[in-house]
Amino acid sequence: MIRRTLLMLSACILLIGMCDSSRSRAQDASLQNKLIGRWTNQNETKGPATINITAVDSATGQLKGKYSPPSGAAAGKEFDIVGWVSSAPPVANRDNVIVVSFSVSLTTYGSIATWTGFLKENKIIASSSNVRSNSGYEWDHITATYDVWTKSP
Amino acid sequence: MKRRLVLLTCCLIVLVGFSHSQAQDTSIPSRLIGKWMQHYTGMSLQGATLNITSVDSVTGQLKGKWIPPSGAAGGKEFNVIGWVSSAQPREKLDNVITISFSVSLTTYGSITSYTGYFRDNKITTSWFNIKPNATYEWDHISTGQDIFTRNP
Repeated sequence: MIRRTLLMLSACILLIGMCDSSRSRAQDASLQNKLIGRWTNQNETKGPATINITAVDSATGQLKGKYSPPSGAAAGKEFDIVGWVSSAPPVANRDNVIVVSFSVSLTTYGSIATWTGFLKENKIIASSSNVRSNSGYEWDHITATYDVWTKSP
Repeated sequence: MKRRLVLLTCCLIVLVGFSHSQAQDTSIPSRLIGKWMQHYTGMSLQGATLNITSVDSVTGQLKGKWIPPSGAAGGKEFNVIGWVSSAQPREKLDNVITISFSVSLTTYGSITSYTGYFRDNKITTSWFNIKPNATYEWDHISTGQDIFTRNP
């Protein structure tokens, strides 16, 4: 009797574990659906740069894609982007978002740009920083601003 | 004779240019690969260890590991990805090797990105940390500055 009860209990625990695991996989799939695709930078001062997120690894959260600058010497070229996507279960009385970060090496200039922010209401809202190789002053290599990216239909 | 001299000069220019760019590519990875210690600017907190394991000499893509010093993620290793780049020095401009890397701290669901430059055997960076759960909508992103020095 005890053995049968224990067996039933183990089966239930296993079933609950499988349900949890399939739920997390479904979460991963929805995360990928939400992010993969073309996004346009809405920062008018920079012009409409686009990123094309081509892959999000469901196990590690590693993101890959391409960046297309809107103007300048690098316009029309594509540059690789790398980054991360992550999340955590919502906590009571806390604002919950999907977090995202990606960066691009603009080899035309020797500069690197990074965006770090979150996905909310189908927008990526991110702080951005850019570091340039050549600058007028020692203290002027890193610049920062923020950008909003919207998904292309 | 003149044509030969012109041809020889052209060959020399191409060779010198090629060897210069090759020398740059090979020297940058060797300067960066290895263990680095994070120092918080203006704080006495113990920093994490950054281990840069590879820098692709063609693309500049950087890979490595991040080992936090304490907390729930203390002692664990997390993958680091990023970029290293450079440009030819220009007259009257300050020239540095540019670098950016990021780590996904899956224990917390947060991501930290570091963007800065390598100079005088130090990596000086500006960082952004994004956390999935915050008390307020405007409170997800934190920022600061760190310096990384080589682990002896």
